[in-house]
Amino acid sequence: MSLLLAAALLAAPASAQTAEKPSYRANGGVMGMGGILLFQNTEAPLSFVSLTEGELPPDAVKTGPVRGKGCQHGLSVPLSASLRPTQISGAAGKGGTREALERIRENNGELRGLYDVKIDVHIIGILGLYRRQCVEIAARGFR
Amino acid sequence: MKQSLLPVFLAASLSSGCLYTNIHAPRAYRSATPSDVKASSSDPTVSGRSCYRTALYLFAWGDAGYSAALADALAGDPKAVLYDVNTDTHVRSYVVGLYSKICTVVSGRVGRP
Repeated sequence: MSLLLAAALLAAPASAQTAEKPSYRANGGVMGMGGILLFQNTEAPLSFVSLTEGELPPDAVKTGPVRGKGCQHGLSVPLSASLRPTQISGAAGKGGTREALERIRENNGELRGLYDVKIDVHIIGILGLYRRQCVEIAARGFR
Repeated sequence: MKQSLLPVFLAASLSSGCLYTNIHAPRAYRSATPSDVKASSSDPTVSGRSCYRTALYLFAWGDAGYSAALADALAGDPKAVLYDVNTDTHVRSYVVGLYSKICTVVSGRVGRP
């Protein structure tokens, strides 16, 4: 228990390092990798102007709910056993709206478009070594 | 071997600030307007929330996404459409943040598609 508490107190400053961005900068979803970044080839969501129900074409046929996601994956490997070790890291993956929309189109045949679109980010991190960040689109489709 | 790897994993985890994370966070949602639905003045106002939690700066879990919050708001009528929507973030934090609960709160009126 004392080890866990010590770990929590040491971890606190690390989790407080989220600097605020200027308001004019778009909040991109690029996965931030720490340490020495050896390689990164990721795609992340930035913006997506979706339709509302009232904007559907007059001949649209509603097809119901659809879901799709795209993911970025990252690895960080510590180079030493110190408390603040130097790390090497790398990240890859198509985690943008384009990939999520492609998955939806693949799974739903002749979809013309989407409306009532909700976009969430699903983050999984394990031991600070592996991190997966997915953009998940939940919407309703129309033909 | 196990003993030599443990400090490495611990150090890596501490430097990242988290041992385990599995959360959904809200990203974007374009809600309907009254002209998008069959709106009436008697449409009820509902509210839904979804939350994730963090503990000891080391663990984070839960779903605070728009999908879950909207599903909660429309739990009684899943085929309805929410319009005039406002969304908020509600944060509760205790003991210098050792335990926190971060919620996405979605409120709006329930209209017919």
